[in-house]
Amino acid sequence: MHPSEEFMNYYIKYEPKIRSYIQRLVFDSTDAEDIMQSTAMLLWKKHDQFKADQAFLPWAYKFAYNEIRNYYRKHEKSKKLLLDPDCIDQLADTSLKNSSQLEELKASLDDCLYKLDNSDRRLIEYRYCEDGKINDLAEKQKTTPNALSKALQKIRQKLHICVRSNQEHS
Amino acid sequence: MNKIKLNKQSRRLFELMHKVHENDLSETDQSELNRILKESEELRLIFLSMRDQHISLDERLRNRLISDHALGFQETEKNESEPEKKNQKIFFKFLIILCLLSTGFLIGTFNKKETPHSDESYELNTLLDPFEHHIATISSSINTYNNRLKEGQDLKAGWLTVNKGKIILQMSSGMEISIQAPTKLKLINSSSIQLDFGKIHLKSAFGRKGFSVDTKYGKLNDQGAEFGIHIDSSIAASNCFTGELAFIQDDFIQIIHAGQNYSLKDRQFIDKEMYETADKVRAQVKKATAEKLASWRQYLHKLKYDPSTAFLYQFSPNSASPQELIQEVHRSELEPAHGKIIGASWEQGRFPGTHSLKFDSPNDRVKFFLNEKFDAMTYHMWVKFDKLNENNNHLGIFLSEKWHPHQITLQYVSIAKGSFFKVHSKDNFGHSSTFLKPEQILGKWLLISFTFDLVNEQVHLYLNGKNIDKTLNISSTPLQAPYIGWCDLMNWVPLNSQDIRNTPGQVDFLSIHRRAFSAKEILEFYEKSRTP
Repeated sequence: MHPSEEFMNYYIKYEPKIRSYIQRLVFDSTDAEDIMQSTAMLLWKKHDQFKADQAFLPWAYKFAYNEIRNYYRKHEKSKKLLLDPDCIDQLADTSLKNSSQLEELKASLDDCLYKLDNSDRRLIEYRYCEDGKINDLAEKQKTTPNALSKALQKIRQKLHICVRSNQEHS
Repeated sequence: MNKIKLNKQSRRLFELMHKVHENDLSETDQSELNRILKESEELRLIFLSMRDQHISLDERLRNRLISDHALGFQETEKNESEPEKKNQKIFFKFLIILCLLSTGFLIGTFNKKETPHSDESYELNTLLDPFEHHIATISSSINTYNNRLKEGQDLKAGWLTVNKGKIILQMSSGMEISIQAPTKLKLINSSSIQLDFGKIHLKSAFGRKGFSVDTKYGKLNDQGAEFGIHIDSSIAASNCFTGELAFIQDDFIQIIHAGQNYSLKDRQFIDKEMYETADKVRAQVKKATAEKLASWRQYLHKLKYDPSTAFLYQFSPNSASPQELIQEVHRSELEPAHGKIIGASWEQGRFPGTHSLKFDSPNDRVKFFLNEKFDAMTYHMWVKFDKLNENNNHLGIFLSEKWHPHQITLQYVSIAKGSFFKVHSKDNFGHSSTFLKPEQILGKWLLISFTFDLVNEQVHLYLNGKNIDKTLNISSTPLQAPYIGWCDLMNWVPLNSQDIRNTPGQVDFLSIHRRAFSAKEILEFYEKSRTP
């Protein structure tokens, strides 16, 4: 197999994981896509440095991480970035070390969504699948936006506990 | 939900993460978030997992929006926000870059591959072949008790038998033929028929000459007349009401003038006879339809207040909220389960003055949230299928779309062996009907019903009140009450796939009941809801 073709096969296989890695650390989805693009371009430019006997993901994560750091450095003053550079370093490290565990957690999300009560699932559906506004739903359900927001927070927490429990039992 | 222990800090982290995802994080919160994240690996893991959860749920939404956008559907009441547009642009830009990168390497590989051609797709193309040329259409019918002899049915050349009721045939040549049962005739072409026996009345819409009716006594040739023919064991006669027609047998020709009734058997003029003209039949149909509609509405009123009726939709436009399909059974919960109409448009229903929803393009559907579990169920739906799905061998009729392992789906599936209806509750049962050719179901109003009863492990499928069961597979594990939840009518747009199973056609009634109707009750429902 031609080295470029081999690289491309790796890239296609691991692209979702690289994307997840970036999205976890960059809150603005548009910016995360920009970083994904620049990482893809960088990986392509450097693909001849990739050795077939080395692990692709840690190699690719290094480039992604550098792009994330550059982004945080560049927008340190101009954007509300939520996380400081030290925090990003530590999160990137945790993400790299627990990459497969995080993928497993994500994989059991569907199962946990099913286990939710009907009303909880309805709220999640409304928030995500209908792009619903909490204020609109609160008005419809004759409750306050704050109460609904609290309910949504609890559902997110339940989902997290559920995926973690699933993983512990598996 | 299983429990794992949370400490004070992880609880606070959940609160902060919620604020992050709802764009509600203050500067103080931000500092606190950074501080907490630096404290332990476990807290960072929670953070990352919560990010994944949010991104994964958000991507479902984005996939749906992109799918809708690509299919040309954009909700009228919602304007796409600028960041969303930007997101999509970037997404497509990225796709282009990836394609460019990939092309150089993979072009050779692609060139070597051949497009697969499965047996199923071949069969579907065969099924989609155009039908033979139609020469007549049934423009009205009453009391025929035969689903093939309904208004709108197109007819090809061949024998036609009317055992009950009356129909009006509109020949493509313009001749209108009113037929009273019992009659047997053969459609030869648009300008000629052969009458074996029966009583028919003929009138050309354009006063055109030349239409011929062949009988065993000779041929009647229209010379611009309105006329009737009656043949049975005791009589064989033709009555001319206006204009004139010719009776021809070999070299014998007899012109029959307006006001004359001629015996074809005895070759002599006889006393005049009464015929049912098309106008008279139409008036009868109108009266019977109005009566039937009134009694159907009375029955619906009872159904709405029957505690076993869970959901009922009559498919009437709602001027206050045009995008809503109104659910008419009172439910104690706040959400009344109104449907959201996406793309579909209003059309004439089965009865004059009633409405139906027409589903045309691949994304047309009604989306419901039916918040109920069922140990037993009856599902009734009046539907007309226009054509098979050209992109997929499934017509998705009613489909719960996600997540629940016991979701219910109803589809019309075409495979190499044939086509059939299939009702399926994942992990519970799968049930198929006998083979029904597309010609048997396309272009006519049908009542599709299915019932299930988990306690007795019974599942049945019905078409127009008649049982069409074939194969039932029931899970050996304990059956779980199916939950409907989110579902689509006449379409299925899976969240993470482009495998769209839309159903071109019309629907004018849907009801779901909390018990399994017996076969007798299903037939009664059909009799009460069908048009005359």
